[in-house]
Amino acid sequence: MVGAMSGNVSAAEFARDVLPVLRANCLDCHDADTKKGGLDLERYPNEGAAMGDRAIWDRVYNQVEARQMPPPKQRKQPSTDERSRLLACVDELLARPDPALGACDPGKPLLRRMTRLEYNNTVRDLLGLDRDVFMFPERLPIDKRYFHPEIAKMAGPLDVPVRDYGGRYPVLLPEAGLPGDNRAEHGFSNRGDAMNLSPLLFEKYVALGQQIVHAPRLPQLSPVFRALIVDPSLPQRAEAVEDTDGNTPAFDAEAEFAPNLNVPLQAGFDTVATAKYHFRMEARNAHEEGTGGVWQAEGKNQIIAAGTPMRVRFGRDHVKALRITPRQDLSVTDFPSVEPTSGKSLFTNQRGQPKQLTLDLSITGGFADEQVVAMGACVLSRKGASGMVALTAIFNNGQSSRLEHDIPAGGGTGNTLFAFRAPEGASIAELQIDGSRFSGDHVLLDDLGFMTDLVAAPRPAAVAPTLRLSSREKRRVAHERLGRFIAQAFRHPVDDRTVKRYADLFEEASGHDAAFPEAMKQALAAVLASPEFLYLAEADAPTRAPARALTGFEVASRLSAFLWASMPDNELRAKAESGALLVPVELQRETLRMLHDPRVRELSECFAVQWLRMDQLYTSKPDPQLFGGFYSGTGGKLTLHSSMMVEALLLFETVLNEDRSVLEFLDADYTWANVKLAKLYGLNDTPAAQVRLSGNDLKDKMVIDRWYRVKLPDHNRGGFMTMAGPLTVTSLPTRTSPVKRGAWLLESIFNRPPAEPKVAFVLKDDHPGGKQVMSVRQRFEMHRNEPACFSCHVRLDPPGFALETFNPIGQRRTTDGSQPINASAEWNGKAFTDPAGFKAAVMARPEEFVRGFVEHLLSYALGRKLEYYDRATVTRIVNAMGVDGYRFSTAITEIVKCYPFLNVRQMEIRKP
Amino acid sequence: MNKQPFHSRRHFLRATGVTLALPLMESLSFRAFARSSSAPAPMRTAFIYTPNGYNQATFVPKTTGLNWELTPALAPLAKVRQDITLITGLDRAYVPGTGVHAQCGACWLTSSPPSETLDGGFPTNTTLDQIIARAVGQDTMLPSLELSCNDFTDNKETKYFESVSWYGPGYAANIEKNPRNVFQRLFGKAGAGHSKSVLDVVLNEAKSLRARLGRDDQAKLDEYLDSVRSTEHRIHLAEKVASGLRRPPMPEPAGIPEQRGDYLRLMGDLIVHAFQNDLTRVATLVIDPERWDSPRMFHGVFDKPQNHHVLTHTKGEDARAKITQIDRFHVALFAYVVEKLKGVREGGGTLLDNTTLFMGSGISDGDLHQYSNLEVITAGGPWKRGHVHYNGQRPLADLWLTLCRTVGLPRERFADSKGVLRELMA
Repeated sequence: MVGAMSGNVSAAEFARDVLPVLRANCLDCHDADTKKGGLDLERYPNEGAAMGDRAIWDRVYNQVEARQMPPPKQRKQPSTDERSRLLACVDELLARPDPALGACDPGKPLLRRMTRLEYNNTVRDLLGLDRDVFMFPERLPIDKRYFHPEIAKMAGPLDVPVRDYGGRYPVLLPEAGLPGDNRAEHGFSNRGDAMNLSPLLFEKYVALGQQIVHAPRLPQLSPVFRALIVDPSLPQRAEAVEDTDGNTPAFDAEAEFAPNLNVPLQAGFDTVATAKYHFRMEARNAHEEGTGGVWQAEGKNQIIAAGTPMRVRFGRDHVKALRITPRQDLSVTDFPSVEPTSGKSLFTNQRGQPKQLTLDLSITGGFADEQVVAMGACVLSRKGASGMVALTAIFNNGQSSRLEHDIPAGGGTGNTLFAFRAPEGASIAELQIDGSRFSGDHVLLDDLGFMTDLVAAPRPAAVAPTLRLSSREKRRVAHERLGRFIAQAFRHPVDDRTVKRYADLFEEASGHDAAFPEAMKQALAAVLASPEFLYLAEADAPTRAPARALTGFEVASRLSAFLWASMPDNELRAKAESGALLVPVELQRETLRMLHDPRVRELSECFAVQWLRMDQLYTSKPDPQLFGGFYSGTGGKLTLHSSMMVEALLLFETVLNEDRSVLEFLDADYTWANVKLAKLYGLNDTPAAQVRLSGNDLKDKMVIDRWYRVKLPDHNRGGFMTMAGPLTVTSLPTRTSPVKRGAWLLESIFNRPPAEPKVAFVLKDDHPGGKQVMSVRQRFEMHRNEPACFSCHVRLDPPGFALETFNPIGQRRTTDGSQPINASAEWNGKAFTDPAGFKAAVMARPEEFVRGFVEHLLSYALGRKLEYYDRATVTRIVNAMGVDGYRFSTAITEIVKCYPFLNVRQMEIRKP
Repeated sequence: MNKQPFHSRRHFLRATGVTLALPLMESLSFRAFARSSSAPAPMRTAFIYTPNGYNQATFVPKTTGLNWELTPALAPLAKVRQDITLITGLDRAYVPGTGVHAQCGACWLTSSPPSETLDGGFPTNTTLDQIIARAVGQDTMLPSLELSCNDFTDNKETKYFESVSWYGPGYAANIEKNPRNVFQRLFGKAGAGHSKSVLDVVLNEAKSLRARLGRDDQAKLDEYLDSVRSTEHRIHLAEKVASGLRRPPMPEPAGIPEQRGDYLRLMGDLIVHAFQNDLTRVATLVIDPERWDSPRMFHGVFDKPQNHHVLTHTKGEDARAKITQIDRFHVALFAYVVEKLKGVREGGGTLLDNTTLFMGSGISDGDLHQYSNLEVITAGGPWKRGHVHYNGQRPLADLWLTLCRTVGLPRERFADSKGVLRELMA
């Protein structure tokens, strides 16, 4: 009705531009009788009827635009002009305000639980942790310290260390976790409709909340948490005070233990021990989490006099220090006949003094209970000297542990690791070095690695309260603290009644004689299990308006979920509170600030990885017999998985950080390569290919972890389509799959996934091993010519064929089996013969890719499936990007300023 | 610390919040709690789902009746064939517009007819196991148990692949994949922080949030409210169970066993123990999701990882033979569970007499994605034994309707059922 009344001009257009085309081309199959595919287009004799069923017309649009309809094999086709006028008319129809709403439909309010990744990040940020809460597979095994979005330049070379996939890394709760989320149909795992909550998961949330608040190390790691649970009536325990031992020699702890990788031996082990590797990893982890590090003994002819405390500063901002007080003079120097295990210098006894050293150890700054619990040092071998060296760790409980090793002669070849760990509950108070049986004048050491932990000191009988607080006053303190915490956890201001719910839990626990911290923990654990915490929820406002603008807090919550996969930080919250976020200029400024925060890496690790389906990369297992190049190192353990992942991440992040054109995702004249990829790609002239691999896994890993931004010789590489990662993900272990590659491209690049095949088709003579007479392509062509298959394959096959020039691990090839590769086909009316030509054909209509990309990103930002009413928004964003060189930041800022991001529908729309 | 004892165990739990094993009282045997010996034993139902269909040539016997021949895939049933009801030739309608594999598992047990797509294009709805659980599971600690042996950590497919058990349209049950967690949920520990007052608080919070939401979202948030309520229920019953269960009936698993066969059998053991101790009366076990294109090891069967889905689409006798071996591997699990159930005395017979165990797939021929001619292996329960072939004359839903009757559900229809399969009822 509304449509019919809205004006004669457009009504005439529907009658003029759509109906004749339907009659001539569509109604043979889609009339009321035949209703092919369940679609009856006779139901829409006029525009009003079409307005009442616009989701159908959205599908019509997509089918006609992609030339899937009329079926490509059908002889009679609408002219180009007819087609474009029909599309323009339908497009206009879809963009109109909703007749029932009287406004454009911004989509339903958000109600979705956090994904596992968002939960982890939110708890992390809520408690101010510098690490993940638990380990989970979506967290890529890639050290992200290379990532600096605050610098708008990604210059190489970059060191990007990777862990084994599934390997351990420092988290708050190594044994805890949540089940994973499944992705949505053609979408991301953050889509509300794809996520459910049932008793099993609910109980896991409740249990996890308890595990978090009771994590033994949480008080040490989170000042926020300490401030929440500390009993206000007790004297404040020593906070992490800064070490202020001003005048003594000081060094900064380093992350790498023995980085020269020349420690072949370990005291206490007969054979080469894996313990060396573990100790290195432990030291690095400890440094990262601020609970240790390495004194690499760098210096030139520096004497630390007996009795002088020397400090090795560690911890976040180096506020703590390991105090080492030698009882004899200590010399830090370089030495000609040895090979130090880090840098060029080492530490040793003063010339002429006995080869015995005793180091007293303690921690300054930090917490009262923080002590050294593990320690390691390398004893260096020397040309022309040899003999037994013994190291003894003396523990604070009076026990000790002694290791000795016969150091063979030779520079470096006899370097030996000595590693100690204190028994449970004890710490290392002293390290004795006895080189009296080692020949020559010196006992030589390097790299003192240490790890600390909170070691419960015997507590004083009772701490006298300094304040006499009544239980009522304690409750008031608890209520106040909870109020602030809950507002952050729930991402919006909360009323007193809400806070009281949790304060009551505190009260109840206190009533049962729980101490203040324990009672607070009960309340905090309940907050973490609350639906207001677990769900991102937008309420129905009390107004009866058909749609409403989001509040500042709601916008802040959407923003941080989108860009950081986490909660708002203080700055964002302040802007929400002041209302600044509702001002477009301020919103833009805030968005740009967030884009330059390291947390924005989740766009790459979460959005991009899912967008490109690289979340399946680590389970790809190319056949080792056919594609041995994928596996290297001892036992084939060094696979190309992580290299392929890093390459893709680095391109995404380069475009993100340098604010480049998103068209580089399709085609870039550069890529990032390490030595492995440079070889795989045959980029032999680049610096990445010049580095040498030694065959020593440990050393090679460091070489492989080095990345170079390299210029590409031609357009057969560059961009995601021709990257090894996506090419591997879309292959089977033994052969390529043009269909998988084509489907990947249609879905990831264009966001126009092909229809699901109704019947499976089998490649004739499909035997692994490349013995087939026909190429994969030839066999597919037999299949596509069947009419039922043609309309999909006319879209699927060209990209699949173009990419046939790459084998299942993304290497260029010229033959498939005994047949030469034929990579020619046609795309958008342009013939091509190789991937570069295919890319050029795709680039001829850049908006097709940009639209797909914007749709993916918008769906991710909104946490929902896109609907027909979002089409106009997508078009606006694509157009805005078009006038701005398709810069990445334009996509982001246009999305956060768009109508559906800032508004929600308020009423249910009834289906006609 | 105050020396005053805690008033009750619950207060203690509440105050400490740490994970605690419930105190196990020596004086009561579990059976005393479970039921008085005079009451009839409850009926149990378990569904085992295998993906990607079966190799028809080596699975379906050519002869019907009691003397059906042991085909290569069914060979492991030799020892238990007198307990087997083999039903073949049942049909299901495929709903166009969604993936051929996506509907296989998600809609295997659905109560929606194919014409009723309440969940986008999918006819997902409350599944049979949940319908039975709502009727018979309210007195047990867990109304139902949903398990899976999909240990891949990349969740690359949608929820339509992961779960055969659904609470309603679009509402998939979360599933447990780690035997250790299943064990703990069944026997081990009363959850930390599950104290009544915490649950009360979050329930009230949910109610107040619900009042502020639109109607669609209220229904979505009900997932949370219902979860809290059933957790309360579970905790309540768990305390009773713990006071009766002398000790867990099996050692606590360390995690997911490395060997595939051990993993599958361990999940089977957990179901049997849960049934035996009347902790639940309904269970589903997904052996693997449909289409999950990741090669996996079938230890002791092949020396290299195999990709079940790709094999179904690979021509040649080699691939066919491998599918037969995979089918047999899964049938062996079925036989193992049957024998386990049979080994437990209950009343005058065995646990198998009071359990119906099903195993099947949502398609018959994995290559052609055929929704017709489905096979279901059944054991135990009040069913006539032998092989019945329906030759596509009856929908799968008829079997499920028949099951409803045998467990005492007064349903006239189930999904697109035509009628009860009377010839199967003993």
